[in-house]
Amino acid sequence: MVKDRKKIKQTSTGPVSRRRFAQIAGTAGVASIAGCYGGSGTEGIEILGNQNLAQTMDIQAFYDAGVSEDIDIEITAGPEDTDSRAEEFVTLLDAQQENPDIMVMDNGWTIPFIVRESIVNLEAEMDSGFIDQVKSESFEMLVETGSHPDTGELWAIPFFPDFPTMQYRKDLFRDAGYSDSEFDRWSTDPPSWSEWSASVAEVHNNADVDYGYVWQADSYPGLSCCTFNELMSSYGGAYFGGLDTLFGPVGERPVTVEEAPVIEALNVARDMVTGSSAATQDITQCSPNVVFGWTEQETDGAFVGDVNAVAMRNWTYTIPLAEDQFEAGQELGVMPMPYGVQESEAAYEGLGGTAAALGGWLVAANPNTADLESTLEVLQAFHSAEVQEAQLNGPGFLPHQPDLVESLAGEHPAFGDYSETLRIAGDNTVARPVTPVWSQQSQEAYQDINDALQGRKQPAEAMSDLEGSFIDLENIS
Amino acid sequence: MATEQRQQQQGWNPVSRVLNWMEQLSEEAYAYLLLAPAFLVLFTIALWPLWRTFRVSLFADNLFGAAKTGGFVGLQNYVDVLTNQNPLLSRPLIDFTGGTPFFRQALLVTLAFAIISVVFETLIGFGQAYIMSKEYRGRRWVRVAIILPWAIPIVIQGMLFFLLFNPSVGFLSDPLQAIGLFGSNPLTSSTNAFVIVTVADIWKTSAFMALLILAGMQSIDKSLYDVAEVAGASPWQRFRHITLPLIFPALMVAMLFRTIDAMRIYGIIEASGAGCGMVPSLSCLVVDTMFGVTQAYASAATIAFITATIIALVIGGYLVVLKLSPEGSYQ
Repeated sequence: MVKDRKKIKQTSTGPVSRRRFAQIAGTAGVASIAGCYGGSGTEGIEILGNQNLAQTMDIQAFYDAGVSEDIDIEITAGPEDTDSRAEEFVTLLDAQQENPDIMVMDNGWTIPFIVRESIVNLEAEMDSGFIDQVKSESFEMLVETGSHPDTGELWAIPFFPDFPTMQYRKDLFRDAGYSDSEFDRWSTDPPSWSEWSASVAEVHNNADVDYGYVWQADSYPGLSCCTFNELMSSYGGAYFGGLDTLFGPVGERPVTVEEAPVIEALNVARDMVTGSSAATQDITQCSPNVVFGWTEQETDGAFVGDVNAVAMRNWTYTIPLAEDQFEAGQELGVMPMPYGVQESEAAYEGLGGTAAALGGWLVAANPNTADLESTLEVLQAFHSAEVQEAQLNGPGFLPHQPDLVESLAGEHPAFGDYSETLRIAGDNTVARPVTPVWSQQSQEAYQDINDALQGRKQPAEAMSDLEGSFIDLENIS
Repeated sequence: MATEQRQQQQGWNPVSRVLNWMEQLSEEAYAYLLLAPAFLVLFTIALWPLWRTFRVSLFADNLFGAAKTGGFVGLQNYVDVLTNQNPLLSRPLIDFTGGTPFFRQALLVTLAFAIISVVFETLIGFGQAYIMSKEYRGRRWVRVAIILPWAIPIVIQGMLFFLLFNPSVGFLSDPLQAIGLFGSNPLTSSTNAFVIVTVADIWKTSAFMALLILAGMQSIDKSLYDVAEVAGASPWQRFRHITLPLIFPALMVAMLFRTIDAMRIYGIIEASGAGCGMVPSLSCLVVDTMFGVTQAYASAATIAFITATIIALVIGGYLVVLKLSPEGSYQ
C-alpha cells in the first residue's frame, strides 16, 4: 500500500492523475477538431464580379434569357482593383474552392489562366453551335482575349468591352469657329493626330480653360497596355510584330519596338506636350506637361470635375459622368481616337487607322464548381440580348455584341447620342499582348516609355533597352 | 483512486493498455509525451512547409502549362535570383552591379527597414518603459496613450498614414515638402515611401518593445538601486551597471522578436498606400511572384527560402550574443 501510494505520487500530475488528464485533453481535442468541419460553399450559382455589378444587375434577366428558375443566382463582389481580383482567383483556384462558380475576369489577364488550364474549356463543354455564335457575334478582339492562343478554343465568354474615346467640349470648339458638320464627321471618321493637335491648340488659345488635350502618360501599367499601345498601333507599330503574334508564341515572335512607327509614336507624344519637332508629321503642342504624371483619376478631375480642359482621352465610364457634370452651355462631344497613318500605310495588317485600347471583362467557369451543368447554363445566358440589356441599364456595361451596342446603347440616356461612335471604336480595338510574361514586360515597357516621353532617355535608346528586356522575358520559356 | 485501480486490473483493451503505459512513464518522458502534439502541429505548419518550399525551389518555373513547376534545376534558381538574372521578379532581390537604386532592391530595403526600425523601437521603447515604470499621478493614462498604437490594427494604421501623406487630404505632405524633406507626393517616391513605412512601424511597435522592457525592469530588485545610491553611483552608472545588465536577456528577446517581424514586413506597405512597387520588401517579392497572374512558383519559393534562411541566421546571431554575453541567461 505504501509502495502504491509512492507510485501514484510519482506518476500523478499534481492533484489530477495522468489518466484523468489524458481523458479530458483527448475529449477537448476531439471536440475542437470536430468544430472545424462543417458545410461550406453556397447553394445555387455564385458569380463573383465587382460592387457595381452586385448592387445594380437585375438577376431576372438571366431567367428571362432562359435559365431555369430552379437555379438560384447570386452575384457577389470581389476586389475592385484588377490585380487584386487576379490574385484572389489565383488563390481560390489553387485551393480548388467550389465557389464562386463563375468568375468575372479582366481581358488583360484571362489568357494566363487559359494557358494554365485553370478554368473550364468552354469549347469542350458547350454546344459548338453556341460557341460559333459567340465568336461570330461578339467584338472579335474581346473573343481573342478569351481564347487559347495556340488552339483558338474559347475558354471565357465576353462580358462587356471597354475602350477609350476622344471626349471634347463642343461648345469651346464652336466658339473657335467649328461647326456641327465637323462634329458629325468626326463621330465616325476621326481626324489625324496632326489635324487634331492643331485644332485643340487653336481652341485652347481661344478658350478660358487651363488645359488643352489631357491624357494619361504616367509611368503605370495603363501606359504600356493602353495609352501608348493604341497610339503606337495607330501609327502602324507594335510590340511584337503585329496582330498575328499578339498573344504568342512567346519566344518565337519578333520584338519590334525599335521599328520606325514606334519611334514616331513616341516622338508624336513628346511633340504634343513639349512642342518639339521630333516627329516626321506636323504635331502642334496641345497638352500640358503634367500629363507625364497623370492617370485616369487626374484627367477625369481636369476635364469632368473641374471642367477645365478642351479634350480628354478616357474610357466610356466618363461619358455619363461628363453628361451629369456639364452645365447648360457646356456640351460633350465624343469621337473615336484620331489616327496616325491610314491602314493602307501601316507596316502590319490590321494596324494603322483609328485604334482604341481594348479594355473589358469576360466570364469564365470555375472547374471546381459543384454544379457544372447549371454553371454553364448561366454562363450561356451572358450572351443573350436580355442579359446584355440588363447589364447596360443596370451597371452601365456596354454589350459585347456590336449590333447590340448600336441598338441598345442607342436607347440609353447617357450613351444614346454616341452609339455609332462607340460601335466604331469597339470595332477598332487593339488588345494588349497578353501572355504569362506580359505582366513583367508591361512594367519594363511603361518605365522605358515614360522615360522617353519625359526626355530622360532618347526614344531610340529607350526602345533599345526595352527590346533587351522583352527578349529576356520572351526567352524565359 | 480505488475505482481507477480496479479499472487498471480489469481492462486489457487497447485504451487501458495505453493509459497504463502512460502511468508508468517517468516525469521527463511524460513531459515529452504531452509536448508531442505541439511538436506535431509545429512540424505540420512550419517544418513540413519549409521543406516543401525548398523542394519547389529546386525546380524550374512553368508558365505555359497546367503543371506548377518544370524540370529539376538544382540550385540554379538561387543563382539567378542572387545575381539578378531572373526577369520574372518585379524588383531585384539584390543587384551587385549597382544598376538598381538602393530602395528598389528587396533585400537591402528589408535589411535597412529591420535595422532602422528595431534600433529606434528599442531606444523609444526604453524611454517609454522608463516612463511607465515610474510612480506619478495620471500614470495609467500615460500607459494607455503609450500602448494605444500597438492596439490599432495594421489596416487602420496604414490608412492613418495614407491620409496623413496624401497630397489632397493630408496635412503633413505640404509642410514636409516646404522644408525639403519630401516630394509633392511622397507615397509615389521609393525613398519617401520607405521613410513613411518605417515611421509608421516605429510608431506602432515601440509600445511592444516598451512592454517587454518594462517586464524586465520590474523584475529588478529595487534594493540594488538603494545600495548603489548609498554608494554614490550616478543615475547613468546605476543604469549602466544595474538596469542594463539585468534587463539584457529580456531586451535581447524583445529585439529578436521585433527583428523577425521586421524581416517579414508586408501589411503596412500595402495598407499605407505605398505599395510593393515603391517599398519592395522580401515578402512583397514573394507575394508578387507567386500570386500575380504569372504564378512563378519556383521563383517565389526560392525567395521565400532565402528569406527564411536570413531570418534563421539573424536568430542564430542573437542567440550567440545571448550565450556569449556575461548577462545572458540562455541555457
